[in-house]
Amino acid sequence: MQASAKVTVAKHDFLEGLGRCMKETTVIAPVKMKDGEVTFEPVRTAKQITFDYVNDHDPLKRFFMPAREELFSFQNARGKALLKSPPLPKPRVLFGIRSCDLQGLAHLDHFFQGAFEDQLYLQRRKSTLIISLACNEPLDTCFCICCNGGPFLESGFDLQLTDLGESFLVDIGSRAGRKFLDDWKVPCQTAKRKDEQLRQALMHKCDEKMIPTAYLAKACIQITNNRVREEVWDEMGAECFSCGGCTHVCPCCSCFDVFDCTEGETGQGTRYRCWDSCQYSGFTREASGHNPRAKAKERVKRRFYHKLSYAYIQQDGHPGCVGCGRCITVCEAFQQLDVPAVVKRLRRDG
Amino acid sequence: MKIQTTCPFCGCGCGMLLEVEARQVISASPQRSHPLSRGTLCTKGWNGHQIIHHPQRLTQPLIRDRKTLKPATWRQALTLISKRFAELRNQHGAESLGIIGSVKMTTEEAYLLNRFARSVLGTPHIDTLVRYDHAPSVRVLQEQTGYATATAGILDIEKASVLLIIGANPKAQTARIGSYIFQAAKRGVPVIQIDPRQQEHSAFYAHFLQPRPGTDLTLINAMLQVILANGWQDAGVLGVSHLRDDGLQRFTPEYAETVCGVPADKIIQVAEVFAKSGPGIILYGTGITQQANATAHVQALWNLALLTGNINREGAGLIPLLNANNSQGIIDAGLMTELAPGHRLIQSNETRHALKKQWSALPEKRGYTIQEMLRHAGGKLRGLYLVGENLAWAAPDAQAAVKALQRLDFLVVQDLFLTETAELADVLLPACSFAEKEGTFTNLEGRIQRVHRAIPPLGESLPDGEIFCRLARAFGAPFPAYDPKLIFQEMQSIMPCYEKITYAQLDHPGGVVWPAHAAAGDGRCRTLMGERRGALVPATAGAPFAEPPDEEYPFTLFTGRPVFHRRSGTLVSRSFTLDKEDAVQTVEISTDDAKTLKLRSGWPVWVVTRRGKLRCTLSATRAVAPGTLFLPIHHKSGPTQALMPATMENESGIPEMKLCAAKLETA
Ligand code: SF4
Repeated sequence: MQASAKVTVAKHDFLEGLGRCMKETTVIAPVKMKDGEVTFEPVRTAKQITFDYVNDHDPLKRFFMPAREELFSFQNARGKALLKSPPLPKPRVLFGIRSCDLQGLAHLDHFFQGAFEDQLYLQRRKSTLIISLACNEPLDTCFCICCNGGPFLESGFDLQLTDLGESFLVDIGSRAGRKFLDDWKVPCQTAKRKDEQLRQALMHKCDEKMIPTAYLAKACIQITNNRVREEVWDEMGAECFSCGGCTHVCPCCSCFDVFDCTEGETGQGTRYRCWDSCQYSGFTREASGHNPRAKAKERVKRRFYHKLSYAYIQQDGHPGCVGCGRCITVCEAFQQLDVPAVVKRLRRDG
Repeated sequence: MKIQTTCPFCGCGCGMLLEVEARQVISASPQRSHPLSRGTLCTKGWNGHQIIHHPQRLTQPLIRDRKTLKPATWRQALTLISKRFAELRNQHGAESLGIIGSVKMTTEEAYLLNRFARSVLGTPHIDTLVRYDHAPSVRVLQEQTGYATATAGILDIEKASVLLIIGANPKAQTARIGSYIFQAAKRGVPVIQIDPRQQEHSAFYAHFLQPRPGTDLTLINAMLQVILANGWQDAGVLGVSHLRDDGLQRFTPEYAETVCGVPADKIIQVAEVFAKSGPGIILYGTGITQQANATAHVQALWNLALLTGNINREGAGLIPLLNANNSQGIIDAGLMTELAPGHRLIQSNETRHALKKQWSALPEKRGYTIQEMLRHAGGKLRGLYLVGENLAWAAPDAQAAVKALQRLDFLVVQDLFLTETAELADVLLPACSFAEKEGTFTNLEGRIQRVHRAIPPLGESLPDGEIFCRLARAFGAPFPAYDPKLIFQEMQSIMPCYEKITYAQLDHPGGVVWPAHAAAGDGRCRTLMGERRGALVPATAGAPFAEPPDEEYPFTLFTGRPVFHRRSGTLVSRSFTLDKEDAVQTVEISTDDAKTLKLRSGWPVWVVTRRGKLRCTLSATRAVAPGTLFLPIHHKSGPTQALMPATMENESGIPEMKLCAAKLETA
């Protein structure tokens, strides 16, 4: 990947530029909730933005594939079906997204632009300018270094910010990113060598702080070669609560289902899609009633095949994990079935 | 935008965030800062929100016009209700009216409904579906501690050295608690599970005992007998000789083995483990409380906890797994015929004194329970106001319940959807969902938490509390506009258990567990009971369950709840994702019996009992023992409870709806 251009911007200058942008465009940024947690939502002023966060507990994929969205509405007009699409998304800026989530988006891009192009997803993607914020401070659940999901990225962003204290080192990843700086009159200076050195130091420090909990390689080999004993899957299947949380919070998981809501007998209604989960038994049940993955064990197995087997890594260009660590917190089976835990179990089995 | 609220799908009360966009709730996600759920939700928590915008939501009042329900205005509906109820009251007295409240309402709403029923309508007949789940727990715990509530908190599970789960499937029904138990088992804490059906997590527990259905009381008494015989009881416990003299002697492990089918040495082993491991918690569910002699069962569990010194210390206690989101709040607000707000008995003078200021009138005695209301419907009971419960689906012997509702002169139903019960209504009032209102839910350990309005009420639907206020005004009572905060403060002024809590505190992640004045290290129970000690009350007598298997009906059928299900299924069946999980109604049979009967998994069968039959798909499994059938309840394909008996236990008024005799017929 081509190295991106780099500039430095004083923090307050950047935020002022962002503030100007907010007057005309929706800016989604991290804000503190009442309970002290952080969530991403549209902001009106730069003051609302918090920098005191590592990540939102909810993956930012929700801004591109919402948990429930309207595909179209339909109407019976004298025997003919009239379809109406939802309005096109308006341009917006997603500020402060972390590297792992951004890497997750790359994974979703691959899926939604494959054999079939998903227009709703792509429209949202195209209308969103992404300003990511590289991580200086990982959480103890983060393991992005194991999956090449961060803490700093080389591409995928329009702008990537690195917090250098008083200023940001800004990687310009696209024309749109450059245009943002120009349009909102963000005063930039060419990045100096010492800024780059500072960033390198931060990267090293962050890498050192991160405990590489998920050594994927051996687990990938085990799974790809079908070397994991059935008893291991049996045990994990019995442990699993099938809550689906791991898939919902995974930046790489993209499965959905489609359903219609009709208004009585009027022939009028809306078609929705909502997140689905391979951990639910309804996910693979066939019309005949037969379910190839009726047991939780089969579903857990399936999930890790998709995440770690070579066939899928080759197809997707990346393991199905970016190391955000959300599956650790969200697991109802108390950290038995998250990626690092399962990777450890698979590695040790054989 | 995300709105913080409390999950409305079970008694755990997990912290939940609703994501709202353009006045639509589009997702639910877990609250990481919540002290109990710590960033997790179960299947229901993640997907239950899909009911909020379901197209079948009722959005305007409906009034019966001969056979059909026709749209009406709120004014018309409320005027008609007040007119008809007033007529019935004039003709037959206030006692001709009954109220059944929902266990899903907020506590403020439950309190208002209570006040409306007793002080405006003047009827003593008021009840909720806590009756069907935990009436015996209410009775025993209220008697023993003065409060009908768990004597330990959920987080105490982390401090316990031994856990006993009996008659419950916490993983399926109160998943968060299931998750704490699972974690304890993984840490090496001995977990003892007693259940007629092996569950997914049973394999992780140190001890799994599979007694014959309906024999738990014998098993618990045998454990008590073993503990006493070996002197393993807590040194300070009083009244032991009383217990010993009152028939406990005969519950030897050998005798219990013949009754329960559990090896005697296993009974001795678990009795020893439970008595000797240190602080222990007993968690029980409807597998205990819906049996014959349910009150004796709960009393026996209380005895076990008390005898082993597990009532009044940290990391120990008795936890009834109340499975509705606000069962505890409903009990707190006194929405059961024997109770008044604040865990007082309705007949006590203290109650009269405490309520005198706010309540203009109060019936002097207890009234009918749900089963009694149904029995007297069309006779002594002429009008019924049924809030948020689908009795035609949830009541045992459901056909009889439907007939009872049809015998009424006037039936008002308030719900989100046109349920089988709502179809029988003379007036149907549209209530709004948890996402459209403010208030509090109290989880099964007494944790009071805020429910926040994420979107405005859909259509003309209204929060239940608002409807109660309007209805009271239609009766001429000076109820002000509905303000949950003011109602909460009114409750605090008469309910000592809610004292010392500020409304702002409730907004903190996890809210406040009552009693709020519990000193650190004191544990919930000590704060509740003060100097009271609780008593050992012999619980050895009692008739066996009403319908043992016989030649005609050779199986013992017992019921339980599947993971994605809740209550009567009115809500979860309208979540697209949850409904998809619940594809077919199955009945489980042991692999041995399936072989003998030459039946195979996947085949359609009829499960037949003396009350009716239900078409199910057979599932042959080793999880249930020969001679038994297990039926998950409340599938949308037909009312499972219609098969179950409605024989009522007198002590607590709970129907014996857990077990009955059944046979299989090929379909
Ligand atoms: S465990 Fe209970 S409270 Fe928690 S998410 Fe599940 S249904 Fe909701």
